[in-house]
Formats: sequence, C-alpha cells, structure tokens
Amino acid sequence: MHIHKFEQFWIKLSFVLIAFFIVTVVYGFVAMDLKVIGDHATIDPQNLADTKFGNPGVREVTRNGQTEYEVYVQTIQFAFNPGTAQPIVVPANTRVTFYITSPDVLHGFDVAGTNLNTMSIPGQVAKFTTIFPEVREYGIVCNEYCGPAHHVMEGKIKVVPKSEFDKSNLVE
Amino acid sequence: MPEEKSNPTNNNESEKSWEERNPDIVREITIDEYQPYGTLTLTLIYFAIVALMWVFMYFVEFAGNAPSIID
Ligand SMILES: [Cu+2]
Repeated sequence: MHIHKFEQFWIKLSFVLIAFFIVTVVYGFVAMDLKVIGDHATIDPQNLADTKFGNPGVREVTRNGQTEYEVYVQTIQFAFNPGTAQPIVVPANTRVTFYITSPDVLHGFDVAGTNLNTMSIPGQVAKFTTIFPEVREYGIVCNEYCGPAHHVMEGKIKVVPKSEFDKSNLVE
Repeated sequence: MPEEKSNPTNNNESEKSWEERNPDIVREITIDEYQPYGTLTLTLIYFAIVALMWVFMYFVEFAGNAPSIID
C-alpha cells in the first residue's frame, strides 16, 4: 500500500507525541517523585467501631524521631467525620497522614485546589501523606456521587501555625 | 477539486472511466505530486497546540498544584 509522504510524516509524528506523553508521565513519577494513592489496606466496613476509625480525628505519632500526625476520617452520607461538624485542624509544615474509609457507600475526599484527592471505598482504607506548607483553610468536597444530598457534602481542613497547634483536641 | 459527475453504480455510465465521466480534468497528477502544504502546516500547528497544552496541564496544573501526596 502506498501512503503519501505527508501522511507518513504525521502518522510518525503521532507516535512521537504518544512517546512524549509516556516520557513526561514517567519523568513525573521517577524524577519529580509524584505520588498517587495506592492500595493500603482493607477493613470490615460493618465494624469500624473496633478500629481507629471508631474514634476518628487527629492523632499524634512519633516516626523516625519526628512528631507527625495521623488523621482518621470516616466519610458518611452526607458528611466527613471529622471535617463537616468541626474542621480537621492540623499544623503547617508537618507530615500529616490521612486514613480515609467509608462505612456506607462510595464517597470522594477531595481537598479543593490541591492534588490531595482520593476515593473513599467501603472496605478499603485510603492512605496518603502530605505537608501543608501554608497556614490557611481548605475545603473538602465529596466528588463521588453518594446519594441525594451528595452536593452538600463538604468539610474543612484548618492549617494552623505549628506554634498555635492545640493538642487538647487530639484523640487517643 | 473536480466533482464526480455521476454515480458509478448508475448502469449506463458505469462502463465509462472516471476520466471519461469528467472530461474537464486538465491535468492528472500522481499521489506524490499532490503536496498539501496548507494541511501540513495546520497539522503541525495542531500538534504544537496539543503538546503545549499537555505540558501546561501536566507540569503546571497537575504537578504544580501543591500540596501534593508525598507518601
Ligand atoms: Cu459523599
């Protein structure tokens, strides 16, 4: 089959473009160290009470001699617990690890305007670690349709200066 | 571009060649003599736009959207 040379050229160019996409994605995950949510653990969604999710909130932990924080969040129809009734308060410039799961249906946990975004799946624990560099408030939105009041399901993360972080609200 | 003057499935016309059905064709060229530089230019512009938008979307909108997941 004879293919016109211009056509051959832009067919080749298409493959170059695909190779370029793949190279940039590989570069991002290798050289720029971008991360996405992996599969951390499974959990019985009927029995969250017996786990750390039974007492959700911010916990202080020491890892490698550093003070870090763990945040256990339950996503329920139609709230983040904690997050909706009271904001999740964490200190700035500190490693914070979120553990998120759902006792009822599929929800999303999207910290608006950031790359922090995960699904919250019944039976699965989503885990991610981040550092909030600035003192400010972030909104959390549910971005997976979860029922009739899905559109009002939202919460808040309040990032406070390290020195002003109130440890009396931590959970055990 | 010359227009086809008849449908080749039309019985009385189907015996004739394409040239006979299109007598106003002045010059026939081979496929490689046909050089659509305008189409080539447009294609290159589209490719440049797609590549630029990808770089913007991936490196600025996605990778630059801190705070990100670090672990
Ligand atoms: Cu939801």
